[in-house]
Amino acid sequence: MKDQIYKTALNCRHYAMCKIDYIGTGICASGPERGFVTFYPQGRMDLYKALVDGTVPVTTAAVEAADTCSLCGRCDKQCYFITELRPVSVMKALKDLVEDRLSVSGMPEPPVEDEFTLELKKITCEKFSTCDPAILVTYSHDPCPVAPTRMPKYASVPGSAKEVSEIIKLCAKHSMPYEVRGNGSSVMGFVMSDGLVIDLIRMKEIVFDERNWKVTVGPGVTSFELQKAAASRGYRVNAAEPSAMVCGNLMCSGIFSLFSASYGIGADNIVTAEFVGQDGNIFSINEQGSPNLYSYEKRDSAAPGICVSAQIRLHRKPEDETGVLIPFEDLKEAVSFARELSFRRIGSAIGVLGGEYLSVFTAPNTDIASKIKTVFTKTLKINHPVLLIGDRYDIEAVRSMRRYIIDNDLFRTIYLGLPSLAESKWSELIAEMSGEKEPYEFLSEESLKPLIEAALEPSPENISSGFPKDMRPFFEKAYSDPDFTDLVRLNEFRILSSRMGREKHVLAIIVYTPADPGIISELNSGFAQIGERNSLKHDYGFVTPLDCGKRAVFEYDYYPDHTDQDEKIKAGKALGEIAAFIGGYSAVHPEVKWIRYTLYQGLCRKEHILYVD
Amino acid sequence: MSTDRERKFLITGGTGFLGSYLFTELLKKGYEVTLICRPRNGKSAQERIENIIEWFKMNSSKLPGLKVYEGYIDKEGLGLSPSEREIIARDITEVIHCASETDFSERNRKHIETVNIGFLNNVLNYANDSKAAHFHYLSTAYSAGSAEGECAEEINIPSGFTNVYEETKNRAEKLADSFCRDKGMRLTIYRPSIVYGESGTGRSRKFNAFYYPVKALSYIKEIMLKDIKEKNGTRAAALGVSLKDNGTLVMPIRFRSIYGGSLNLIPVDFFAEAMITLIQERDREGIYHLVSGSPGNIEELICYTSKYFNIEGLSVTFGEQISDRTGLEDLFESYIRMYLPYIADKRKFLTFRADPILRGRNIICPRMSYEIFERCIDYAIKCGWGKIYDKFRLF
Repeated sequence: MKDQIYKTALNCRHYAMCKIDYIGTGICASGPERGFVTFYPQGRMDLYKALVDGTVPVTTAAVEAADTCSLCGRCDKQCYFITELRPVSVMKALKDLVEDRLSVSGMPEPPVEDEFTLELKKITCEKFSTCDPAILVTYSHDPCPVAPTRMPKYASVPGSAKEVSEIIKLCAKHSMPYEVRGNGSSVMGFVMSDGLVIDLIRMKEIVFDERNWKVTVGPGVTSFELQKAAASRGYRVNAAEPSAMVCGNLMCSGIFSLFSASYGIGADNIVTAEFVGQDGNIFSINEQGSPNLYSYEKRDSAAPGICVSAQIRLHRKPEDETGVLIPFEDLKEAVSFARELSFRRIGSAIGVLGGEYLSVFTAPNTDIASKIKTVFTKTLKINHPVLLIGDRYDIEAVRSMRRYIIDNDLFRTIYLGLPSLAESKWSELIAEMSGEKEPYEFLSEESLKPLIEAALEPSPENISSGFPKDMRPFFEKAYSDPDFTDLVRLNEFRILSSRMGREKHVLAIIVYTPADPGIISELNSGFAQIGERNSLKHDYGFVTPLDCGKRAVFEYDYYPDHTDQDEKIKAGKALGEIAAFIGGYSAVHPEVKWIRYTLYQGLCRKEHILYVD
Repeated sequence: MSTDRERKFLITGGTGFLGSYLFTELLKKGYEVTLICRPRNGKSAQERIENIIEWFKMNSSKLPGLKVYEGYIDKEGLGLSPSEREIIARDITEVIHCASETDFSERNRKHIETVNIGFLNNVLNYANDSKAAHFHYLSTAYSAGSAEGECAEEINIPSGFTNVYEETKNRAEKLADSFCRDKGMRLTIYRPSIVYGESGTGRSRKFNAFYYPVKALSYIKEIMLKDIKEKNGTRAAALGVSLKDNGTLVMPIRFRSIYGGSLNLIPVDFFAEAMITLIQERDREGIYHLVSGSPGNIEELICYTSKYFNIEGLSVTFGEQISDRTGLEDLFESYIRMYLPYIADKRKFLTFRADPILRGRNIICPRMSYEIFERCIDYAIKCGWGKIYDKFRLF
């Protein structure tokens, strides 16, 4: 049992989904109160592991972290939905461990505060800066397989741009290295420091300026929180993964999503942004004399400063908007179709998805996911569904281009009937009866709807049967909400794609490329071969056409187990091969660009990154 | 007939439905058999063959005449190492090529052509490099093409084909014929019609062809009964399906057919016995139809299915189209469209060559009866239409 609990703690992927209220559970109350990640389930998982390993002693903060958990069970549902981990067992074990250790030592160890800590506390107030090892250890590592653990000396959660500015000036004065952290992890492990870690989570300003179609966002605002606020006013923003910080993601990647097909990337979605520069002074990127963050250069860049607020563009949501999936067996055909949609400006979000979307992303557990992946890809021949979100005119256009589509009603039937689909003979039956038709074509035959519904028995109860018994009533209620099965909502909030790291940590390789089916197919094969060679789980991610189908963004994913040393070594080796492959390929096709160079250049104009060799 | 111990066979496609019956029967008769087999689904060539032998209730340790080599007929030299190639080439006297792709889909043309023609070419070349003097090619009665009427036991030059499978099998026959003539090798071509399970026991290693629609009807019945009994039956009602008090399920489905057409089914035990008998006729060349002399029809199969599953409402309608198809009829339409030339076959396969030999030995194809149908479907259901034996990866 203890081994299992330790394994759960070790397996935390730092996806930070316990920090957002994405399935209506509410979030851990102590987190927003204290700010440090240590007071969220994610941090407590790391703390438990550190205490068991003996990396840190039972300190004042360790006791606080254990005591402030009420064992309410919210994190179990939040985490299970994404990774099938159950943190509550770790929370209980943490409480027991702290109590046991205290029964021996009597008192927790207070942190030894030096001058720098005291100066930090003067800036942020007592409780938002610390040198307590129990807190520091929760900022010391990420699941990235190539990032070594680095224990910081200090951690701070400032509440304003002014405080950030003062902290940076303090660091300059003491030559203190620092890193800035968003909401969870950096998949590449960029947010560790031997000095100070600045966590911006408390800076949650969201101010709408509807007259100018923009919203001002603090660096502690997640994509989910911003999208939710925007949606409540009838708007949408181009958002990253739900737990990703808006400002941080802008800086690192320029934020791409399926909506980038119409909303663009990078500078397309910002009006302006404010930074605390490396000297501690605040500047706005629209001011004359500010660093030119709209330009792009193919090189590793240093951060121009800390983004402390960004004005993000708002987009109108049509009331008649809906989502459809257009099945394709062949990647090239799917890319070609998606490019055509983009070229003709049909739809607001377009993506060529992979086998993972309809399986790992939608299934209630990995067993069902594995079965239905075979059903979709092998039996029904849906290897690459194209997802389109659009208004009724868009959908009419798609229907005129392609006869067989999975509309939201059919998607809901399939989604809520996934456990039956995994076990059902139905899919086999239609494959055997298909003749010269593609098996998926039967799915959208109106006349077969009663048979499909009778076979799949779609209901909140059915899909919830894939969750552990104690969670079923909660998920039955969640799935009863039509939003939970609405392709528009699921994609604008990116709920389903958060499951990409469900079994193991995910290493996403992203390139900008011409929206050319041949090039994308070659890249896909090259990435797949690297996965095979290194015996790493790997899969196609997605392709979204950009700028009216002239270019595209392509993601390919590798899944190393970050708790397994061998897998980490394999992932490191694979990364080297990936770099060589992209380097070699882009030497021949200079339009193919690895997104690694957009780190800290995410605000650049898409014209500069996409069209300048 | 006594066993000729000097005859040693190299067989391809030994893990397939027909190939497995052939090689096990040859072993039973005491012949030496060498199988070329690829590893698959995590199982070695040897393991795959052992699983098949186990399925046939034979003991692989008591089969000294069996040799299994890992090989790949998609490669020149069959993917064997130089030393293996030499050992086998020196040893064998005849080659039986059973490996084939039975897919009908035009969209898979390239693959079907590669398997049915390209792979045959590799095997022919290997046979020519070896000591083998006789090539046995397992073809199909349907290589005769789509024209109605009599089909002789000769290389046909048809005006058209129903599908790419028929076409490639016809091209393969021509290739084998011209190659063997050129190289001075004896050639025998065997042309079975549609093969199903064993007529006496119902056992089978494959559940395609006529099994598909029967299986579909059994699944649909399950789904409809569940809807009627556990839900409120509205979905069944929308499809016109209802349950009678006596437990009979009323499921109105019209199957389209062509008047006067027949369905030529042969059981696998007849196929194996007939082909082995012809093989045993040493030095016998030529083309042989292994077909039913009294083919059945779709009407009979529908009667059997209705009786077996206690379903009412299944019927046959003759014509080009059913204009007001129901949902369930839509489901079967694609299948019917693809298989109609076989369900309502207007071809007559002549058996002037095969008949005298087979009848002389009292080897007669039994007509599909309800009893045979019942045995076959009993077995299919018992093994989950093949799923129960999945651990053997037999299907």
